[in-house]
Amino acid sequence: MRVLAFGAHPDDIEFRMAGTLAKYAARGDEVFMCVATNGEIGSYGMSRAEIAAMRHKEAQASADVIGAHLIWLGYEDEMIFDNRETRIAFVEAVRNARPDIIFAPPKFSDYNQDHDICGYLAFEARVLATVKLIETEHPVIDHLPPLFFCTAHGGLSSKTNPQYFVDITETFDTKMKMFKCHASQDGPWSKAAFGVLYSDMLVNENKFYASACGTAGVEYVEAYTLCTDWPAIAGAHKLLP
Amino acid sequence: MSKQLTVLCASAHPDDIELQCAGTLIRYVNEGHKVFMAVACTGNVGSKQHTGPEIEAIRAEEAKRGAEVIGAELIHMDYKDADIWLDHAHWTHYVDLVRQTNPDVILTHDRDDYVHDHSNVGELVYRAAIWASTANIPECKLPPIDHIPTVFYFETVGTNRVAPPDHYVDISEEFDQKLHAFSQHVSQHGDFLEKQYGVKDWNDYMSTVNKLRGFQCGCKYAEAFRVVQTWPNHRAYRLLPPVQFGSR
Repeated sequence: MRVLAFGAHPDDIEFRMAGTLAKYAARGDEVFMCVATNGEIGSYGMSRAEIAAMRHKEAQASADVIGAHLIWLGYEDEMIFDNRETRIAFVEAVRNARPDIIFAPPKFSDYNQDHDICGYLAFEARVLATVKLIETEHPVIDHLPPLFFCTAHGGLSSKTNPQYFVDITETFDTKMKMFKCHASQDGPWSKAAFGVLYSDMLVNENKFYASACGTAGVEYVEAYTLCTDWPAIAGAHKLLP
Repeated sequence: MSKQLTVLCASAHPDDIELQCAGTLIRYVNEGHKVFMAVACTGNVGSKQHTGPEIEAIRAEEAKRGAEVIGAELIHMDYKDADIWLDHAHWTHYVDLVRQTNPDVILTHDRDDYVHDHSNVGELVYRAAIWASTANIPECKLPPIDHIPTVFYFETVGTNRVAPPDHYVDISEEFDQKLHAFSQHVSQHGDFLEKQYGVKDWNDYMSTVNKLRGFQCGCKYAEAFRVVQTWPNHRAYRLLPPVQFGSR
C-alpha cells in the first residue's frame, strides 16, 4: 500500500499520526510525509531562517526513523492560504505519492489556521489529483483515495468526534522516537508558548483514546474521522492498519 | 439566592460520581456548600465472583465511604442495576428526590451515555429538575420547590458522542482526595471492570481523562461538564467551583 500524511508544521504528523504510519511502514507499505510549512516561528532564540533549517533536518530525521519519504513544501509558517499555488502544490504531493489512503489535519475545526487550511487543501487535492486537465508536473492518478482526518490539538475539535481508533501500542515507542527528533519544539518552546510539555500532551492524548476504546491490551491509540464528503469510498476503514 | 448552594449529584451506580466529578464535589464542600449524592442502583451485577446480594452489600459500604471522603450526604434510590426505566414510577421518584434535596445545581449523567442506566438517570433528572417546581403532580409525596435548578452533565465514559465539554473545574489540588474517594470502590477494580472491559487500572483511566481536561483548560487536572442548553437553565454567573454569585 501507499500512504500519504499531510501536516501543517514539522512535528504535526508525528504528534497525531506517526504511530499509524509506523504500523504501515513496519509491514512494508510505502509512506509519504508531506509537511506544508517550514515552522519558522517555532523559536524564541533563533532567526526565522535558522529555525526553519533546523526543523527541516528534524523532519528528515523523523521520516528516516520509519523510512518514509519526506515531501517538504516550505510555505511560510502561519501564512498558508488556499490559493492557486498551494492547491497545485498539494495536488503535486498527492500525485507524487499516488496514495491508497490519505491522512490530514481536520479541515476548519482546529485551533490553528495552518492546520485548518492544510486539512482543507488535502481535502481539495484528493479529488483534483484525479482530474486529468488539472495539469501538473506529476501525471494524474487513476484512483481516488479515502481521506481520514486526525484529531485536533488537545483532543478538542470544534466539529468532529473521532470514529476510528487505531491501536498503536506496538509502535508507540517508534512514534515517540520520531516526535523526539523535533527537539527544538518539545521542551522550552512548547513550555514557553503554551505552558505544556508537548510530549506529555501526546502521551496523554494517545492514552485517552485508548481508554475510550476499553479494549484489553490496548494502551495507546490514535483516532480518526473519515471524510464523508463525496466520494467517501466504500470500505475505506479497511485500509486502516 | 442564598450564598450557600445545595448541590445534587445523581448517578446510576456506586462509583460513577467518584469517577466523574468527585473533585468538583470536594471543591463545593470546601467552599461551604451542601452536597447530596443520589445513587440510583445498588450495583448488584457488578461482580464476576460474588452473588448479587453479596456485591450490593459490599458496594453500599463502599459508596458510604466514598461519600464520607467527599463530605457529601449519600442517598440510595435502591433500584437494581439495569432496572432504570423512563416510566411513571421512576419519574415521580426523581421529582421527589429533587424536591427533597431542593438543589440549586444538579450534576448528572449525559442523556447519551454508553449504557441505559446512565442515560436514563440523566433523562429522569433533567426532566425532574423542571417538574420539581410544578404544583399539582398528584403522585409526588413532597411539595414543590420554588425554583428550577441548573443542570450540568458530567463526562460520559469514553468520548462524548454529542458535544465536547463547555465548562471546566480545576481539581489539581483536590485530585488526591478524589483518587482516595474513587479507591473506596475496591470491589470494582481488578474484578468486574477489568474482566468486563479489559481496563486494568481504573485509577489510570481516571487520571488520563482528568489530565486531558487539564491540558485543554490549562491546569494539571480538571473535570469537565456540559451545561444543559435548554430553557431556563442558564445563569449569568458561575455555579461550578469556584462559585461566583451575581452577574456583575
